[in-house]
Amino acid sequence: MMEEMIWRGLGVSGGRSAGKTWYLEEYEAEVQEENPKNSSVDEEIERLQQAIILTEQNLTQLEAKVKAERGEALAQIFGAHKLLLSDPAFIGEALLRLQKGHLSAEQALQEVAGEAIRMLRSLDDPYFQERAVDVQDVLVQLLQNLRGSQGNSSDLFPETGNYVILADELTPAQTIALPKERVLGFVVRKGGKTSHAAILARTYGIPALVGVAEGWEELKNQSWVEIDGEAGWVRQTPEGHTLSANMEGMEEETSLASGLLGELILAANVGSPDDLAFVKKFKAQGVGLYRTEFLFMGDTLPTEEEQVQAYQQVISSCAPDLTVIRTLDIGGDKRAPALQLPQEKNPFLGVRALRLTLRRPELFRQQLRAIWRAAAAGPTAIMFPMIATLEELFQAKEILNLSREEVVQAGYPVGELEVGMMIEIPSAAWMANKFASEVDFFSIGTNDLTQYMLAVDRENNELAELYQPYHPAVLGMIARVSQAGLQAGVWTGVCGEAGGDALLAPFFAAVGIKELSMAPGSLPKVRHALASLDLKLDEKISLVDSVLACATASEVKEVLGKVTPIA
Amino acid sequence: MIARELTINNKSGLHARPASLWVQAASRFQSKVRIKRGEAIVDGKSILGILSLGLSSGSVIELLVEGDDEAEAALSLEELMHDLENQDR
Repeated sequence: MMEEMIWRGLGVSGGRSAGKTWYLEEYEAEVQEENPKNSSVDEEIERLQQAIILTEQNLTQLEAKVKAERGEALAQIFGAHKLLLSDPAFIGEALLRLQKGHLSAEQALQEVAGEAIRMLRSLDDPYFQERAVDVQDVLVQLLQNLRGSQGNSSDLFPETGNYVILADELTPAQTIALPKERVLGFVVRKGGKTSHAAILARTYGIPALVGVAEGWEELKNQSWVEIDGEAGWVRQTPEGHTLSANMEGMEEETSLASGLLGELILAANVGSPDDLAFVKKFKAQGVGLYRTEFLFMGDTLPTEEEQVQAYQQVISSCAPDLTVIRTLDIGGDKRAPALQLPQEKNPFLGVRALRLTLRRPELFRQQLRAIWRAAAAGPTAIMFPMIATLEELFQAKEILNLSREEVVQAGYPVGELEVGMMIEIPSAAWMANKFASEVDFFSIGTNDLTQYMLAVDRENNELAELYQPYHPAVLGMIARVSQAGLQAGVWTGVCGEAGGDALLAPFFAAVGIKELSMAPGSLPKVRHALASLDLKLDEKISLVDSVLACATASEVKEVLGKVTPIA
Repeated sequence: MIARELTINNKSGLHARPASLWVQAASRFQSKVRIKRGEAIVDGKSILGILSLGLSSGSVIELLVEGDDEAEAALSLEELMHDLENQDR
């Protein structure tokens, strides 16, 4: 067996994908000899001015394109780049140096940009440091225009096939120029969560991780990799293994609520307000899982106001549909430098999610206050992750009530909240009937439930075959939870990866699940599978019976395959 | 010439977006705009210049405006800072 190679970084855009890699080399302009063409000062100034005009035109086009496709906020990146083009300290300085003679336009630009990049990188605040990429981006475009070539990265990108892109650094223009429908993922050596590459990847729904510094030299030579943009890892994968997060490219054809479609709410999983474009595009009926971790994974923690704003944006955009906010689920494999979490021997069995927030009441109350305040913007539900015992639920609910009072006392309007819990630990799943009287809803996290039921680390490549969401024990547990909920008048949703699995959707409908929440890109597939299928009550019962009568995951797959023919 | 002391009170300081807005606002006027912080003086119409000061929340700067429309320019930039501050609320 090959020794497993895994690299870690900051997951900045969720989703899992795998495929052949394509390495985007860092742009290195050839160092020019001192004005080799011996052109006159005026000629060089003229060349530079031409390049500026062309670059400005490119940027204006990019700005308009991005604004039309992705909205104002992202387009501002390119607006800021245009400001650099008229910046006296950048272009003005380059022109001054040209006037002194002996320099080519390229040299003058490189000198000035190099100084600016070094200056920005030397600043303390990471946010300012990352603006060096903007200078780099403008420099590259100017140099390309000086050379008269349109050599942007999309020209170099292979003409066919889908790829995971490995890059030292990704500039906004490079990212925009790539054919996104053929990009499986981004793995970037530099950058943090506020880097443009991170924001763009999220907007396009492409899995991405950044800041993968350790072991980069080996990583960049890998030809096949699998990545997880939520957990923040990349690892070797066998040749030929391709997996797409499938966010774009699948067109809607299903029209009305037909078949089983009318019985289920199909919602989206999101990680930040940037994902809202996809919620709309794929016509999700609300958000079934809003992962709030992302706000907390930077170098500093968000303020209450920042949280209120982010939550409000998602809630008001989904209204009148429901937004389900999951409280901070950090720890385990998710890094959060600002929280200074201690190393643990078994992080997945350690202080993660609710276990962490119950130990950091200040942090927890601040998030809960923000959620109460944001809930005034539209229908909102809150759920607690990683509950194993009833006592934990009681504690969480008590703090939830306390924080509500704090908000009232501070004089802010308070919204209404449905209160629910994640079902992902077997003990809670087994006892769902006891929990049911304490909550408004359950949301089953199938990834963790599978991992904990089969005792398989889902990130361990070696054990990939044992990680079986189709295992009859897992599906039997899900049926049990849903039943317990129905008896108590509590609705149940599924928000793990299985929620976006078209093969499983009819089974979920049959056991009485009310909501499936998934990566937005999975919605068309699942919708299509449900719309083309109509099961009567007795057919549902027999489907559930035959699934639960299976002895192995592969038998289950066979049974499900007969119900839903998947292309 | 007009000289005003300003405190950067918006939460994120003069980061990329606020700095862009500042440059756009300053560039609408004929007057020369400079920002002084400690020993450093930068061109207030240069985004790189402003970023180089690394102005985070709480930084105190001196705004120096000189020219025919200096009064309007100073007022407009002060208003911008207020707007940025209010957007945080």
